[in-house]
Amino acid sequence: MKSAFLLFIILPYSSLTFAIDCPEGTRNVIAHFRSDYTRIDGTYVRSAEVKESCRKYSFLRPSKLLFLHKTPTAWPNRNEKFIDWSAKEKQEISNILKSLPKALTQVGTLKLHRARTSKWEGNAATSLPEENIITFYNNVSSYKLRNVLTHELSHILWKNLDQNEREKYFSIADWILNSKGEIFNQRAIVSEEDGRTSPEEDFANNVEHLLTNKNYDQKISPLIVNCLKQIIGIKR
Amino acid sequence: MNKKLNVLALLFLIACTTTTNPIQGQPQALTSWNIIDGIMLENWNKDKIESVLGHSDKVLTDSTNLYFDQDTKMQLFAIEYKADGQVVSFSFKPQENEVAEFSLDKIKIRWKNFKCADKSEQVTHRDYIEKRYWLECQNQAIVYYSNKKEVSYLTFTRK
Repeated sequence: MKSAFLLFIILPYSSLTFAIDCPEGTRNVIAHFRSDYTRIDGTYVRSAEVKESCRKYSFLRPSKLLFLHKTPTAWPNRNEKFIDWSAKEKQEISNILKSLPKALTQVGTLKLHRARTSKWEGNAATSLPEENIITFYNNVSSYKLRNVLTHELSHILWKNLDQNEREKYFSIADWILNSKGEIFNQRAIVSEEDGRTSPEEDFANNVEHLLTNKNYDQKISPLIVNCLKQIIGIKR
Repeated sequence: MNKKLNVLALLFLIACTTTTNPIQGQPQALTSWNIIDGIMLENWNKDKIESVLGHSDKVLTDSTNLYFDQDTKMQLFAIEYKADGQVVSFSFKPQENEVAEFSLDKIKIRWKNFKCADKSEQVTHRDYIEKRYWLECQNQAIVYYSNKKEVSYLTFTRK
């Protein structure tokens, strides 16, 4: 039923403007033509011209921050040593979270862990999106914390999106599925080279650039920018 | 009295015969299932498939033929053919208006005889840990779905 309801969300990405100023926590659904379809319960829904409106995210939950020092249950990188947070680190993260869009932060209980070193050399943070877990490592201080946090929260956002929204990003961002089920990208320019590895990583990279890099438009096409703005619910 | 009953019966008959058919204009879902069944069960070849889908919109370097939805421009089928037009493998991505027809539960019922089993794995990437879910069937068909049990795409490879 939920999936059927989400079928109403058909966003024409060619349009780059919003007539309605939607409040935070909601996003624009641009006026569009909706094709006819049959709901899961068998109800036939006629095609229609849908007017522009604001729609709440289905996944938004009041945010609750947990700063944890133990190894997360089912954490696969068992050799990573988990430690406690400093008061300064907690404050920095709390401040950044307040400045990010609700689509990234209002995800219910966000479990933030702190470990010494990543299994992967040079890695500043790792997320387990299905559990709302992010682990930060010592070397996060070498990076901009806002960028790292935005990137990992974008992985959680990707997990929260419904299939239709993911498919729209897949299509707009030139991802292709071949006959054997292998997924690859055809774009000439990506915001980060590891974005070619999966739509999810590409999405996280692009959201990070959009929200933290003033010159994001040099690496992300206007169509992708517009798609991301609609997904996140921002206008700038 | 009989006359009144006859009028009522006539009105009832008219009401019944003018009820809107819930499936009008052959929705795309039926067409997609027809093609999938055609390829998997009836050995449809390239000519037969393209008589329904039209010519492919793009051909990849690995000779995969891509077919896109004409309205949404989103990918529908990717099909690899042999030189004689027989299908080697295909993938299919349900469109927005097909979500109900391609729900995981409906696929499981439809493919009951293919003996499908739910599988999952956890993949560790450099900066995120991904959980993958799929339905693996004994006829070489696989259905990939999300953490919310929404079908992303399905694939089939001929033995």
